Amino acid sequence: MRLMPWAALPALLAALLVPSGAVLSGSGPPTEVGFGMDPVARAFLLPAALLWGLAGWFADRWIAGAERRALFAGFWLAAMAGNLGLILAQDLLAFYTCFALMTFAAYGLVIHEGTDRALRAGRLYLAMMVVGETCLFTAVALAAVSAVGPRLEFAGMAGTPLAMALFAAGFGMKLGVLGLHGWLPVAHPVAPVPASAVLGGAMIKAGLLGWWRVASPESAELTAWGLPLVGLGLAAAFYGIFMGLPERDPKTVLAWSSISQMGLATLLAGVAVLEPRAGPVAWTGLAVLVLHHGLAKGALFLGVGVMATAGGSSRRLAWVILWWPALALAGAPGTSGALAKTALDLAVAQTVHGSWIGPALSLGAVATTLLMARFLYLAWTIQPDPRPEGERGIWEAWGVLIVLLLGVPWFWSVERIVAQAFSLDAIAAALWPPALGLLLAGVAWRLWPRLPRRPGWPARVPGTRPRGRAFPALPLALSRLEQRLHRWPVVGRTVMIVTLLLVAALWRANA
Amino acid sequence: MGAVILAVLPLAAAIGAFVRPGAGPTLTLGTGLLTLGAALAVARQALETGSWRQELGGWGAPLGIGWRLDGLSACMLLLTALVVGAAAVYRAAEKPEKPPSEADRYFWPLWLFLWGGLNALFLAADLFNLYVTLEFVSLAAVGLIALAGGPALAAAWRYFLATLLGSSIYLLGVALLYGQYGVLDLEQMAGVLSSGPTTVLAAALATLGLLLKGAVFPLHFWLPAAHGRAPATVSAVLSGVVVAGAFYLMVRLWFGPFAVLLDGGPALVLGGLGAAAILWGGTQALLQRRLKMLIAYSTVSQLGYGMLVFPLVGSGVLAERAWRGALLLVLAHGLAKAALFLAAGCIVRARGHDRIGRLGGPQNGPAWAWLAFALASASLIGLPPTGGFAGKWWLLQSALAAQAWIWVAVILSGTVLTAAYLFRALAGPLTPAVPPVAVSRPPTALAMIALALALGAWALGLLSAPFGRLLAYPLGGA
Repeated sequence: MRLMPWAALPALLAALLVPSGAVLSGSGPPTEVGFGMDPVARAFLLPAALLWGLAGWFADRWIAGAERRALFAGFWLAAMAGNLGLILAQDLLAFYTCFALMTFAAYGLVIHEGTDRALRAGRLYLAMMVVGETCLFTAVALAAVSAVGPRLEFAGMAGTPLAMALFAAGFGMKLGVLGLHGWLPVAHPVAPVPASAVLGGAMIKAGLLGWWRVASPESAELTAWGLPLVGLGLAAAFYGIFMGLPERDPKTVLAWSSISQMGLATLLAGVAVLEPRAGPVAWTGLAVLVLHHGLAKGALFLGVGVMATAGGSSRRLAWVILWWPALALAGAPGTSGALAKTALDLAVAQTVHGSWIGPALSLGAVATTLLMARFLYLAWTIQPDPRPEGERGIWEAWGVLIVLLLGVPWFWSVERIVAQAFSLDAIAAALWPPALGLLLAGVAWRLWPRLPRRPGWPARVPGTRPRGRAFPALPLALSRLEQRLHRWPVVGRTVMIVTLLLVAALWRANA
Repeated sequence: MGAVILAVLPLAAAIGAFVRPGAGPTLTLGTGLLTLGAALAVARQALETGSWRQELGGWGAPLGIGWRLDGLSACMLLLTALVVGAAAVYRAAEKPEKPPSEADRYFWPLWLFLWGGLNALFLAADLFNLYVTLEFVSLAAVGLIALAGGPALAAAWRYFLATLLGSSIYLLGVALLYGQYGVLDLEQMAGVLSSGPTTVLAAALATLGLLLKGAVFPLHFWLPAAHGRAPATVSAVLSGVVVAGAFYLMVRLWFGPFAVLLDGGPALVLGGLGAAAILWGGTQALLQRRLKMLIAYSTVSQLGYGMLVFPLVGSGVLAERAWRGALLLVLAHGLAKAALFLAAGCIVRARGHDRIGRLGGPQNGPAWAWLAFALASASLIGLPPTGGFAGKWWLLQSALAAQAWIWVAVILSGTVLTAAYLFRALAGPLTPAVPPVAVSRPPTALAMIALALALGAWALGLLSAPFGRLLAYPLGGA
């Protein structure tokens, strides 16, 4: 387990050093599979590798209990292998295999705590993921039906609306697209802190990457999808915040924030297909968003863990440091969030709808600030968990992540976006939403105790809604029916029926 | 030469084991090694030359007994060698919980008879010989189930009656065909068979008999109790190979002599029964409270996938892929199901009961057995890159290409159901809440054997290309 963080190092080096175009392919079964590096893979690999490595370092110090550490490490490494594998996959079959590996290994991470809440969350996660996997399986099989050549290329499915719809459903479920997001706010908070960090920071991006791989070569043919995706994304951006504000658990707030931010990603994906001109800018913007959100969300989750174990003055220090990723998520100037916001604005400006999407995005930034303020408030009030052993490790891991969050997006992103982000317009545009949001948050904090309270409102704890048994009589009826099939008189009748069925079918076909 | 070893050696060893009970395990393991080698040789030859015939005693059909070897029979022989061999090793390594009774001296002879019968079944090339080998297999299986005693006796009795009924109906069909055409050899029959009232009735009866033996819905009534109550080794072989043998026979008949009768209607009926099996078996498995019963119902469900070969190949679109897919699924199922039963046997021994949900976790149970269970489940659900995935992959493609949305829906629902009940069985062990209650520690070797079989199912996926070539669709009948 101590070696776990190092497992991500080769991936990091690969992201930095391996040139695009390097390919490793082989005749895997039943078609050829290939792994390789290209610009898209690089964009996703860097944040994933960083996050997995640092969260692994954190996890090494966080998870206690000898056998449970081994179990956790096993699932962690399998999920990481799947995640990094699918980023590097160059054909559909390799992608699907690694995707399945990552999804099912993550189940083990979700239920690691073993509490009732964790088990129920795991069951919901599994149920939804199985449906998503089935959709993807069908889509990949459809691709194989019409495939030419030994490999299952990503492109070429735009002509089959069914395949694209299935891809959208499967990837959307992973991403947490509105309507398919049910599992996210239940599963993410329940996992141990480092697992939540990689779940929200790296694994849900797999859905985004999948959609990018399948949709971007054919953006021109998917224009009809553009506006619905944009609308869905905006709706998700606001819905996530609306649902996240009443929550009482900081990790749940972060999970809803992920849904909101992935709504922005959906919006960008919509913009990318909406107009051919906007395509390259939008996909670039997505890369920036992925980097920014991965590092920021990871830092926030790990920060929750740090605050939970810190005491006294170090708790205050942690809380102050936590402001940075929170502001980054809100898009304050100077943070990676501003970079992402600039990229978003650049992309949206290319479309005809830019006039109303732009202000909506700014409003979204205000709302995100409100959500982050709520998060910071909750983070301050978490009761410290008495954890005597080695916290120095978790501070260091978290610190490195914060530092990376400060610098990496600026160095890694396309120059044009960086330059744009430094312009006065962009700084002003980035400044007023967080400022307004903080103002509103401050006002709310002051006034909230004095407002007339609506009973029941913010008291939702997800996952504990009493689930009544829908059809309690159904299992019993099915069992009884089965037992009846076992009795000899019934067997005799069944034999007669099947004989007649066969004779009738044969007669009709051949007589 | 390999074929002779495959058929004769187990029978000779059975007689040896009957005469000297102490030599049972040794004889079985020796037979296993030689049989495995012979099966591999046959498979390699089938890959090179396609199919060939072997006449026993130099007497050609219709007088003598002929053996027919092609890719399909080579694969089934290989499956038998692996599964029955592994289960035999498991039984030999198992330290029995009860002191050996008088009846146990019959175990190894019966086991070897079953083995020989199965090999002969996959080699046989004429209808009556097939009946003989079917009887061999069924009677040996009944004996093996009954040896366990206690509640297994009632299950064995039920299986005995069902299988006898099946055999008799099959024989009636064969007799009708012989009376009509005067030949029994499969190839010759394919040449002369034409549709008519007697032929239709004969085909229906023969199929009905095989449906009974293969436990296809709704004639699966004997399987859950028989497979659920038999000892782990016996269940592994029964679910993995014996039921597949009946399916193999159906495929041989319907893509051989009866191919001219296989038009829309009958194919749909057979496919429909398979679809019903998938859904009903899956639902019932979801409702089970005991691990071995769950696995037994899973067998009912998974054989349904094999039955889909009839409508999908019959539709003509991507028929080759449907054929390969269904057969690869049955092969992968054989390996994975045997692994499941052996792993379950290990776990049940460690816990003393098999109530799902109270079986504990890998940290306080046989961890290797749980790993084998998980890997085998992955193949049954159809996760890449296992054999189960490759089979479903091809089958689904054929259904999608033919736009047969019913079959697509059935395949996908079956996958979801399989995932549901297998995760239900696995979800127990991942919770640390259950206090460790170890009744006994089974030897690690047992779990390793289960693990080897599960890895075999995965290897089948990685080797799906050569197996696909081996299972090439016989254009123009078997």
